[in-house]
Amino acid sequence: MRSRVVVLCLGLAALVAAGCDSGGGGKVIGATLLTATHVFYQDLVDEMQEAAKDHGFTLRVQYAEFNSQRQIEQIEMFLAQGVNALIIAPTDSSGMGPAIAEARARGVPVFTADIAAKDADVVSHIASDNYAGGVILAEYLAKVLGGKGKLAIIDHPEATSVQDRVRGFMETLARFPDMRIVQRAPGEGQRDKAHRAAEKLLQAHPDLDAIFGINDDSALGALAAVESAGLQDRIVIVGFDGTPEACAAIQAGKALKADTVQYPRKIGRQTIETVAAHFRGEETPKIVNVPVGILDKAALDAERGS
Amino acid sequence: MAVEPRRYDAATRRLLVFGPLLAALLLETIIFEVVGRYQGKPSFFSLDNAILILNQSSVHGVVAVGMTFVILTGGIDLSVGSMLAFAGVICALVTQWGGDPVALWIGGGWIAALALGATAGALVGLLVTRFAIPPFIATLALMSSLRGLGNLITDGKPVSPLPELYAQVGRYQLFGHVPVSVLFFIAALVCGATLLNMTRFGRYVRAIGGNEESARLSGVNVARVKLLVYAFCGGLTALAGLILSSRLGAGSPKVGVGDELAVIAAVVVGGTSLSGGRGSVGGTFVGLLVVSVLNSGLSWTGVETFGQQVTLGLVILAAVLLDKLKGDV
Repeated sequence: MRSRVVVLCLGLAALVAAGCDSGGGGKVIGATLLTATHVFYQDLVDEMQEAAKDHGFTLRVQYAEFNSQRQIEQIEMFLAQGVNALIIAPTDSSGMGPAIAEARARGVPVFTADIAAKDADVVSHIASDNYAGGVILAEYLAKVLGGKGKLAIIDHPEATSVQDRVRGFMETLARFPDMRIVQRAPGEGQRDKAHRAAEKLLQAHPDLDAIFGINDDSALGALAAVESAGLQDRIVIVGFDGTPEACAAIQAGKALKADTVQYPRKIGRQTIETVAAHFRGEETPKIVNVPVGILDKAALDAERGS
Repeated sequence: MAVEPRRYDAATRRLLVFGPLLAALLLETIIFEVVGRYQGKPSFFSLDNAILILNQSSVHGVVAVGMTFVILTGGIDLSVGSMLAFAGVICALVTQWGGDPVALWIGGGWIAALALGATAGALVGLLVTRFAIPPFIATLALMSSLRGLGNLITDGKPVSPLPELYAQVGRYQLFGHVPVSVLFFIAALVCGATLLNMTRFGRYVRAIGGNEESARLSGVNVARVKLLVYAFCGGLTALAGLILSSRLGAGSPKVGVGDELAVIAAVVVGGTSLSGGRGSVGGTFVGLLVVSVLNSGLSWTGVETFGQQVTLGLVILAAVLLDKLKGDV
């Protein structure tokens, strides 16, 4: 009997500790995010908590773990708790529409972070600036190739984030008349398809100078094709996302030379700042772009060294 | 402690099944109310929150009624998670393909999905009875094929956008308070309980689970009863999938992964024996409530998903251990 009481007390203590967010009479924000298992979201939430503390907000975080039904239940629960704002990183671009509409009907402002929701009217969407990512990669290639050369893109035009990346890349290249895009090959953002697309590309354009993979799977697929064609010393590849595998390839001095990286901490901070601005009655933009950076071997070596 | 078969009268039996469950429900509610209040949150024990939890239980609840029948015959249905997604995808596709008039095509989508669900269930019943394939294997195969098929026909992407009416079916609230999905849930419970307790079919279901051979020898058409049970479960699962799809406002091929286990857990916590013959729809209802209130309350008090999974595991264990201690109720 006594052990049962002890277990019960421990359970209660754990509950109180888990939800110990009662301090301050400030606004309460509910956040339901895709998953707790990605380092990206761990960093994002850490910074959101910091920013919320700075503003005196109470931030309650739940993770949907890739389950749309669970995410809707979390949204409904936050609404029942009477939160002042909702932050969602949707498990599924579609499928949040009705729940978001219900939040709006109750007068609760909804913000999306990192992943946008289709068919839904949110106050602001806060995410990495894909356009700027395309721009910095184009500028990097212009520098490395001395402002001239033949380029190709392993593309995935169906994704809106990719459209923005490619637009930034092409509009920047337009400033360099001697840099020409010879082909945009669809690779669906998947490694095997990108690999096949790159193989055909190398056959059609043996004098290619550079390849832009719209994500790291595309870039790594292209890398494999370039290496098996023995062209790794002639062709420069750039990628997008900064996954550990891509960073390792860059550091090992392979043909993949540079990658854009997203900053989850900046997204987390900017999300809370946007909510705060909305609370103050300010008009916030529909899309809030968070800067991205570029990683090459020098930057990675410096990071590891420090 | 000796675990030996004991005989109880009906009233004692009911008390032994429902007593601990209701006590657990009460205890959970008190704990979450107290902890929530301490954290400065509104009351957990409110009518609105009760309706919310019922609403959130309705998808699993409708499936659980069908699953109770399957488990009572000594079978199992692992395909329900995939069927949830598949039914929603079919309905969404029919709605999109049909266009105007929207209401007609949504109705057509519902009928198509329900028919497919029942047919798939009947197919499992056929495999189990005619070809003597164990239910675990037959439904495992269906689980995989249905999941794949749903992803194939949608290219792995959710079917959307859909007309506004599509989402309103699951969100509509009667008298401004009671969501339609809760009414479906209650209807499934009432139908299930009536079927099980008041009809010859229900008695056959229990008899087959108790001792299939003696049921057969007493003249029960075991094959037909089993086929109907799997078809019933398939149809109810399709209904649940339609509710879910409507709540999402999309037909997503990725929902319901692992839901078969959540539903089986609720049925087991509700006192239905996995070896068949013993259990009730009422028990399943209360068992599901224990699990739902637990999940909802843990979220409410800020415990994250992983903590919820651990706690759910402990509750399932506790329920089964309790069952063992009670002996053959």
